[in-house]
Amino acid sequence: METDTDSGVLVDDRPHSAPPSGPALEDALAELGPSIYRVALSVVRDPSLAEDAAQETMIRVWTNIARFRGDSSLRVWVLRIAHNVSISMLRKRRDQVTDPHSLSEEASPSGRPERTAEGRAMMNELWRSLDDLDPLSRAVVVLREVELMSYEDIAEALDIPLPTVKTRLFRARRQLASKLEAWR
Amino acid sequence: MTASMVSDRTLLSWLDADPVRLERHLTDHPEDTDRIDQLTEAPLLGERLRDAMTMPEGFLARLSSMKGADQSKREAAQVLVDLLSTAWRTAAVLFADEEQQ
Repeated sequence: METDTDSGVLVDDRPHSAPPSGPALEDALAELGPSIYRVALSVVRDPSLAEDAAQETMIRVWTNIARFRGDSSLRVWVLRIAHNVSISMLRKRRDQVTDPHSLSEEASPSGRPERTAEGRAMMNELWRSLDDLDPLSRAVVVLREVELMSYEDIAEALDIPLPTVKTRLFRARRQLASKLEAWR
Repeated sequence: MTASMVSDRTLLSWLDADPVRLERHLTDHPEDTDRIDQLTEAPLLGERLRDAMTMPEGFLARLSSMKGADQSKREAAQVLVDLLSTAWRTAAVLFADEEQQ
């Protein structure tokens, strides 16, 4: 399998079953919406840019669904598109931004208000800790810890070797664990 | 499968200082994955991340309406293509009839 460099879509010419369409695809995408958003946010760190990336992902899925061969799960295929789109948007944003610090200043936790000041501080701390990770490690940790995907599926979704998935995940956990300990 | 003879401490030291070596080790000894998985386990991480990465309010509804708008644009484009190609399609039918006669 290869990734189309223009669309960021996985092209698979092996034998396949019919891709989902119509209401079945709409239902699947509605269910995958939160996961798509989280993958995008893990890469770009900016909620409004993550929304743009999620929308672009949806458009690419709708327009390229005929290319889905059912060789991996639809979820893996869609999240791979989400990751590619997000990386591409992040690169464009970096090209446009002259001050490297302005990217981190834009990043903030998601729109939902935390219940307490303590909760808010906790979220901000976690967000800052995530900033210390590179985009690929953030995506790995989100796919594993939040989306509960297998190592193999993560490797396929992010197009990286299996051992790299594991070391990225374990290192990210170690890095984030100390912050989590403080909140217990 | 049994774990390799490498100690927990060594696995963690590779993870911190030499991840490439750890990758090689896990390639040769995939059975050690579970061990280092447990060693680095962070039980609250998934929950905290989920809380920190909640979708903005109304996001799915916006996606839905965006899809509707996208479909409308495509349908409008198709109507335009049909209109612009009417003359050509009519001529094609007429000439095809003439050739048959």
